Amino acid sequence: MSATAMPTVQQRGMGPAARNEELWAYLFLSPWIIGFVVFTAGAMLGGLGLSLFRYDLISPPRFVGLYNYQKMFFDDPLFYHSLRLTAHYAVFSVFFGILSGIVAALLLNQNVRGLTAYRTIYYLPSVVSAVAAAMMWTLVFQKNYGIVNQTLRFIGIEGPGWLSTTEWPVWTFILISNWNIGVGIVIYLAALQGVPTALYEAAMIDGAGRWGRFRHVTLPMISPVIFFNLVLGIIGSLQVFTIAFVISDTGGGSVGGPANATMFYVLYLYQNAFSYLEMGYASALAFALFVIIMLLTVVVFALSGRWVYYEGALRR
Amino acid sequence: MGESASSVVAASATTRHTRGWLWRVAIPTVSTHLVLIAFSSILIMPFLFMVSTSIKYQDEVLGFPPTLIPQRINWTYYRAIFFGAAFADKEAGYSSAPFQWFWFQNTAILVVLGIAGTLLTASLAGYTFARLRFRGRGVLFMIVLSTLMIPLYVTLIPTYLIWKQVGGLDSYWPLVLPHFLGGGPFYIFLMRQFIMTLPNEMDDAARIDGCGWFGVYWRIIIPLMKAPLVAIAIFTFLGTYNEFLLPLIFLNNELLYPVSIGLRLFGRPSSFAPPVMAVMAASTVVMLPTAILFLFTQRYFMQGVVISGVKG
Repeated sequence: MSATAMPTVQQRGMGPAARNEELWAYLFLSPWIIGFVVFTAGAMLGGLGLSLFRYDLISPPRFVGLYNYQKMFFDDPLFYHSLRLTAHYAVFSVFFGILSGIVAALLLNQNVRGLTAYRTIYYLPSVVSAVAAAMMWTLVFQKNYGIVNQTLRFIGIEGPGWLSTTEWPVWTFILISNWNIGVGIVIYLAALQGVPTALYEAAMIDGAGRWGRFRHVTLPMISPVIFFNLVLGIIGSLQVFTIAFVISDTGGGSVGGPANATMFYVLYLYQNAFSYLEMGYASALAFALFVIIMLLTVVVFALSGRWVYYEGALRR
Repeated sequence: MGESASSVVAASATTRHTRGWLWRVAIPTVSTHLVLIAFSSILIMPFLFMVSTSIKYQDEVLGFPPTLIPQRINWTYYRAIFFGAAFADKEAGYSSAPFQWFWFQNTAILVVLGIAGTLLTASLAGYTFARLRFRGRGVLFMIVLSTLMIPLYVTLIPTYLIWKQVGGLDSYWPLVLPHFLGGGPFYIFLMRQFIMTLPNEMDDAARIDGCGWFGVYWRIIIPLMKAPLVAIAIFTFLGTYNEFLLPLIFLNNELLYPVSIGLRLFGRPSSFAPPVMAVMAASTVVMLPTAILFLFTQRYFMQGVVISGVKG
């Protein structure tokens, strides 16, 4: 590219052109570099430091060492509760999300008529305002006059309090999360369309049936995309906030109810920071979330070698 | 006679053909469509119920059996929202927070600034990573990629404290500035990938003709990047329009509220809450802009999603 700017003969000494190019590069990157230094690296270090303090925004921060972590691990049942609840939500929403996304994409990939119309409908839920959607779900799952229970009543079943009991809300949120499978469908569909037909033909010659072709051609070929969605799905579902915040906000100033049944991890973090003004403790929770997500990502990556197939990976 | 015989043969041939066609084509096609339609109805039903509730009278909302098409249509709530009226209950002596049209104005300001910042700084950074040579390029790009995985919540509290320290609370600075600082690692990555696919010849020609590095970016690269830039603009529109947590934290002044926070204020369940029909009407109004944008710009959406998902 910049062969004129950087003669390969004298790699070590930098000509004025190369130095000039470098200057421009740093100039162009300066917005991002400033943002990274202040709001990413700086903020992360600051947060880590803050987790060693008690700070309520009013009195000056007080150094407490590892007290916040000690409290988190040994003294705070809500920490474990919110973690368990979030894990429950993450496992089921990611699993069902991937499953229904693949099924829908497989159906759409059979040269169906009206593909565009179906795709539009499937994608639509992913573009609408999350707050408005939360308002909508509050009505849909309302115990008495919500459409779900009204319909169930129609066939003689008295539905549960989807959002008003202590055991049902997490399942309701899993159901709701499956409403946003549109992005996944579009990605799977593109991946399916990218599978070379020659592979299917070869498999058919070898006598593979429908299932065999799916199992040994389709699945390996789209496994990198499944993997991508798995990683993003886990990271995203551990951070479920807006919908839980809006739905569980019943006006009393507390969220995560009833009886902490929707107290997802970041909701708890938010509440510690901005309701209880426990900035230090909330920072400790944030750092724990960071470690959890990093560990999960490492584990998923490590396991991916067993089932994710990268075309051409062997040639390297 | 001969004619009828031949027609019998033809008929039996058709039947045989039909049977194969039935099993091989018709039944799979129909069942595929049935499943797809079932999926669609499940996804679309909440929307229909929301809209239907927004034009019902209270007794029909509470009544059984449920109706999807209201027996009597009630425009009261849309009218009230349109004129920004509050819902007052004279007996109980309260009134709700009115629906404010300036929420949309505020959101529009945030959206325009967000798009401008992201398009400019993300494309410039992407261009730099794709085309310029400088020490630390590999390392810096690895940092961009690794910040993709950092959850917002990890930097949230320090960021809040920084803005509090510099007096940025209750202003749009905390919401807008990040867009002008690269607009997020994902878009930088996307831009770089796109620019890498463009051939170098034109850059080199422009360089030889005395074009500077910014000139190449502005005159050569940007005009070739319409599709990804539009995709990024649309995604930024969506992200900003739907953003909830950041304005929730940074804005206390109700005059600065964007739509997302305003709707929550309007529909928040409390003793001052408007009736559920009004909340559904407001939710419908708030959902419309992004839904319409999506319907008209689907092509770019799909491209953007596919590029991010498959190539990423």
